Amino acid sequence: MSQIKVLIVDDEMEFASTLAARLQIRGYDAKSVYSAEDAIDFVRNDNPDVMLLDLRMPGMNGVHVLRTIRQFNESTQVIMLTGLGDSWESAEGMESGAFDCMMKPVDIEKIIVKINEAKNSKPGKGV
Amino acid sequence: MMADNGNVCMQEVRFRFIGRIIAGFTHELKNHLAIIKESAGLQQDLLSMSRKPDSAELNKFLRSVDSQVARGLQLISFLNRFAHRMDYECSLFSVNEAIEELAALMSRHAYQKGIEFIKDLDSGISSIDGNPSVLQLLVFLIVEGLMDSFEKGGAITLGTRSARDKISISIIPKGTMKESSEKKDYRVEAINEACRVLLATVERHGETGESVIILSRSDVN
Repeated sequence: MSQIKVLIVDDEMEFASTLAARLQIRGYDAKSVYSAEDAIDFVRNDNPDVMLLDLRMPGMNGVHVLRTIRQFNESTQVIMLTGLGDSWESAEGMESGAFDCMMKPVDIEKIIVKINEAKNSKPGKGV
Repeated sequence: MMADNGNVCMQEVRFRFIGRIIAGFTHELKNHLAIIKESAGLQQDLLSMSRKPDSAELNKFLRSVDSQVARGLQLISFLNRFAHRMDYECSLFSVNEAIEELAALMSRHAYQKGIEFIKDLDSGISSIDGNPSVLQLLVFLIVEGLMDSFEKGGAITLGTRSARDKISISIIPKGTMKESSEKKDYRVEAINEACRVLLATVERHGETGESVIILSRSDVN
């Protein structure tokens, strides 16, 4: 079975890279990028199965990134990572096609459950 | 004494100010805790795989935790001092410290807008008697107004200078100004009221967005 490709997008480099390392230990093909622009490029070139996307980043926020990606990619499932008090933006993210939202910091086991659910509900995935 | 309407307006502005500061602080602190949590989790992962972390890895982890804790503690100190500045209407305070603290507490908000604070503080300024939280509110209102009226990106320089009969606080933006909007800026009345409390004046340069707060020397000890 091929590895699930996961992209973590967060301007907090240490958070994103450490989370990627923990997912790699668990058998995921996890990569991290630290800006909205790099995330869009990565999705365009590598088409990850699942993206963990920080909602609040400088410049382009997570919802904007999601909307931009949806213009050329329907298949990458997006899980938004939110902070306290981001309920309005979370709702906007869900309306824009996010698979789900999770509040940071998140337990690794909960992230894994969510990544697997997202992967299994990918558009076009056979039953 | 202010008219009732003025009081309500000023209170709302103060609540908004404190809300912004707390939101930025909690967001920042949460980020530090999230990094510590993931770093500790990674060490647990390695141990549970019966893989002993090597000393370089362990050192990296410990340094990361140490630095996140130090940054978190510094922010907590700033917030604690910020809160205690409201204990008294008037106290002896350092203008530089008040500006530095405000810049640190607003840094998350600025970062979200891609704006960097540059500090250019005159170390020779003596402490003054006055209301430091009203001064911080005044600086906040001007800085927030600039953040709203400039495109994302750029920098804001916060400078202090001491002259014979006054202390000046300059707030100088660098970046691209948005098209001016017709919308009434709620901050204008609050800025006037803060100036009244502080016996200060604000010189504003519309074209550059630069503002200078001038505190009269009679407040200086």
